[in-house]
Amino acid sequence: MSMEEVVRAYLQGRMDRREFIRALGALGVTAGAALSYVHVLGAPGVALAATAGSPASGALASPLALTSEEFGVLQALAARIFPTTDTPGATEAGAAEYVDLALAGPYASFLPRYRQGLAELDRYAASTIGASFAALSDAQQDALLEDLEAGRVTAVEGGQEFFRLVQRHVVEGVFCEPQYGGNRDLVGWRLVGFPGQRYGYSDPYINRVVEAPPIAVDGPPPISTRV
Amino acid sequence: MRADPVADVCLIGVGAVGGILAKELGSAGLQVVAFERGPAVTLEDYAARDAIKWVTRVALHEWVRHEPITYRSQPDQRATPRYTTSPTNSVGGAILHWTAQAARFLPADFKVFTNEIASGLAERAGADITGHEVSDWPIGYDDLEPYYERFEWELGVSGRGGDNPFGGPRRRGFPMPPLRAGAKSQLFEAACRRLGYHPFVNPSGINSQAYRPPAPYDTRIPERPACVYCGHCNNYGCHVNAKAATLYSVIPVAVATGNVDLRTNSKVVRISTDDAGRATVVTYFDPEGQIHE
Repeated sequence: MSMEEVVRAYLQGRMDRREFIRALGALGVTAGAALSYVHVLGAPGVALAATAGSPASGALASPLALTSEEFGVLQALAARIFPTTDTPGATEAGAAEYVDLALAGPYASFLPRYRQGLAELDRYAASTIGASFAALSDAQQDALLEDLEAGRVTAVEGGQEFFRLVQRHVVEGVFCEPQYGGNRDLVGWRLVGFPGQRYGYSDPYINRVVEAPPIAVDGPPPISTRV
Repeated sequence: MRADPVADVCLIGVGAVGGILAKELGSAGLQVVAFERGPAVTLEDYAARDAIKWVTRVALHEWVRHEPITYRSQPDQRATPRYTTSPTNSVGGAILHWTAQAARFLPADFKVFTNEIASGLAERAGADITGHEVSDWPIGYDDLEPYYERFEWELGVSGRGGDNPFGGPRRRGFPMPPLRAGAKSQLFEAACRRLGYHPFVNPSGINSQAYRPPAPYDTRIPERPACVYCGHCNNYGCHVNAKAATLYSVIPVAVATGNVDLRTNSKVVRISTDDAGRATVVTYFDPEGQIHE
């Protein structure tokens, strides 16, 4: 097995921790090298989740970039931006986990913005309603977020722009490729009937609704081209 | 500063144009040094079907955040950094992830001044062209027609010749029939016909069938497969290499001539000229950060 195959097998749960370490030993690589390789594969969050001993489905024992308090506010925010109704929402998709993973990597430049915005939002909730944002009722949260979105919450600096940023990232977290930590169990794709980025479609499927359950990646392994 | 040997031709950038020129010049027996500031890439690097990577985070353009390019539209403006809409930074360039709309210019496009300014059309339409310079091209459609044809037959363009009622004359049709029309295109086409318009299929730089250029075109270019209709073109490299791109068509041929020295991760920072204004020396950073002339 190549390192890529070993890492993929582990992340996809086809290999347990002990087998993973043994396979790495056979390849003569350290776990650290394998994990930096996972980072190159584009799944840093999943890799970190895996090292922490938690399942590789994207669920994390603790947030990576945000503090637990900040993460709690973000989860509550995400749950109202993309609410759970009779269908799954941001909570089931793991959208807040997606954002946290992104803030620990490619979106690190947004981390100070999140820190400040989440803290200010929580303080505003406490000072006006007397409870932390996450403790408010859905209706109270919605009313507060409507004000935030409309730019009426001056206690949150750049509140309107902050709301749009979080909204954009939460939507990414619902519909992203699952290796980024969101769209858990492909709930986002199921919601909209997206079959996943398929390898391609043959004649019977072209210009028809594809009534197939979504899959994250399919198709034959890519051929190699090097110049 | 290290002094490198002399070449017949230096190319700066190995993308759509640089890739084609490298093949032509190398095939003519000239010694070519081709600089590319980005790396060589493989299919695994550009063709994962991953919207977060390629579309949301625009990974192909990510480099520009670390190394912004500056831009100005007038000589007296101050050039400022741009962080978006940058070219790809790798061998193969932006044509690797283009949308592959491959229409030729119309004959009228070459004569904008004659058709729209000198004719009084812009004035009658009330267009304010203050501060804009408008002129005809020094060449016309007929001058370019043979080269359009070569591009279409060497890189592979699918379409139906003569469909566009405003299109210029063509010596030859397209090497491949059009791609299948999508459901939206079919609706749009039917609506246009009802309104009395003449919809036509836009030529596309995507193989509608497996394709290898026949003689008299360059038969050294390898065969590439047909489109699999995955639905993800723009911003993505093509995971079956069905899209017309120089990376896997003309660039390998250029390298195989043995006359093209392709230097990746080599960024040219200065072009020096002689007294006559001819470019004679380029200065570049090699992958280790050494500066060469």
